Amino acid sequence: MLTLGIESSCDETAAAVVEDGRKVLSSVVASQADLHAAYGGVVPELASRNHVVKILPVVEEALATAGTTLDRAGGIAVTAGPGLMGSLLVGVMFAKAVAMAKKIPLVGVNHLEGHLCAVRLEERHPEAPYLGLIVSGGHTSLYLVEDLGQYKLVGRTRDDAAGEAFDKVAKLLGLGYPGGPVIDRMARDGDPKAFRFPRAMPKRLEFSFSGLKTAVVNVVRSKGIPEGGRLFDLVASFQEAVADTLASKTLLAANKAGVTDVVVAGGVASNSRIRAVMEDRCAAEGIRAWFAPPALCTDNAAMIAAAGYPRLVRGENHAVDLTANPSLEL
Amino acid sequence: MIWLAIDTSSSVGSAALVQDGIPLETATLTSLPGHSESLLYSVTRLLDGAHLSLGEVDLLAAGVGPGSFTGLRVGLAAMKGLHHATGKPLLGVSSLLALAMNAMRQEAGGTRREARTVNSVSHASRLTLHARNVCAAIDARRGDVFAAVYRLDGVALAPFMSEQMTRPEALLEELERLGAEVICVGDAFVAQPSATSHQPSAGRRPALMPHASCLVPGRPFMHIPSDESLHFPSAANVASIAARRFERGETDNAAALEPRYVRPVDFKTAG
Repeated sequence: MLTLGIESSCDETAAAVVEDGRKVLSSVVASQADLHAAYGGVVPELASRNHVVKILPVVEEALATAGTTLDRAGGIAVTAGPGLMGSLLVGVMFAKAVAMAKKIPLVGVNHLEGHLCAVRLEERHPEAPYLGLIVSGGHTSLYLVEDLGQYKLVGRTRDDAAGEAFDKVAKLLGLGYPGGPVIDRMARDGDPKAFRFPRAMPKRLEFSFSGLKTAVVNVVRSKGIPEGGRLFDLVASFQEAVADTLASKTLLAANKAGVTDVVVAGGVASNSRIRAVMEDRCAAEGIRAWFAPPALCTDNAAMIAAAGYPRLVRGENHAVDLTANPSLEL
Repeated sequence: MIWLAIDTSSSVGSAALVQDGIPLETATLTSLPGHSESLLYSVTRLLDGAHLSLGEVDLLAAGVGPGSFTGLRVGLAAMKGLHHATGKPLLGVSSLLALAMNAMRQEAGGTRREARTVNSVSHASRLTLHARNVCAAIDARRGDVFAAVYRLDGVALAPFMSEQMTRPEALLEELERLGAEVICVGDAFVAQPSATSHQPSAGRRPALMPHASCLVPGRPFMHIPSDESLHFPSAANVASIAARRFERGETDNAAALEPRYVRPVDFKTAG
């Protein structure tokens, strides 16, 4: 069965065609990162304005690239939340209209469940139970995936998301937006032990990154933005603190739950140092770490199709009753 | 030719099926946010009511504002979806023009039933028949209004003051400069219950506080219809404007259609 996935929860307009919930035939992502870069973050109104002009070409391209048409789609899965309301509504309304006109079953998908399902698009992937870490610009949460579609929140950030911390630090250091990729690149040439940054609440599953951000702010306040190699050291030390925190808490949660597989998803999961630290630390404790390929870590619609597929197969259909919910809980 | 038309630019949305200029079925939308919950449900009911399938609809039309940003995007995203699924042409038209056309409905009705106005009930029916100017103005929030002025040219309305965002007092000055009777339609001219106030004692108040006092009750040369339905764009009007455009051979690139925001993005809301 072909599933058409549609995603518009934040600043990417995305559509994908996935066969049998596993095989990605197409995944089109129209990113607005360049548009928002000038403002150092996502401007919600600007994001919504772009979704409404991108949605149709993106869906058309996804179908064309997959070599198929709407008539062959067995179901539509669309992100219903969480996210920006104005952005979510564009994808949801478009999907509802197409589903209604073509009488195609439609399910609303939780964006976070989408991230957790991205790894299922890989040939080799873990079966439940496993621990899922979702780490992105909007979320830093640990879920125990007890079974397909059954998620238990075991820890989340009490302030900034990890990706938000990357963006704020990059902005502070004048490195531009988004902060993740540039810090990832620069940190390779820096000493991660040069600055001693705090790891918040090491014994707990709750995350907090505002203290780490403040520690970087304090460095800049007292000595100005470091120059030359010290700047590389600073971002490497910051990134190391994030990677260490993520790995420590993920392992703590995995051991508590007694699971031997860990899935890391979300945009920040494409950070090369975070992947390396997670893999090493998991391997040392006999736990397997799984990552979706980087293109499926950041927001995309293939993961939404993958998450919606099992429910479409079960005969679920929200049809015109589907609503967007910006604070949808998993 | 059967048109499916919508307008979601204001707090009272509208959907209609129109065949050769005659409305077959119409619906009023009031759900929030932006009519997202009721719009497609209403479209289904319109089709059922007219015993039509979506495949039998020939053309699609949407009011593209100006108006509520969320409402306009909800409407356009849905119509783009229907366009994508059915392959039927989608045309966008001005919501202010669709609103202004309500004044013509009021004109035509004026001979049969008393066209009452807020200002002066007894003079209104006589005066409106002579009015050849129509001002359409809606609440643009933050004390502004989206407004346009049209002049009756034969049987159609021709733009006289182009669509713009302005302050209510500036609009009043423009209307005074016309030196003529003007029929005023739009929620900017309607005293509304406060959408934001949680005080029950607030009751009904002008839509544009604190500036609304400029527009409501208005001035003697302004004729504000008392029928509240005339103050919201109707989808039937959207269909008729789109039909005229289509007959002239005009179409729109559906993918590129976007709301007429008029107000630029407030970039200070970043992050």
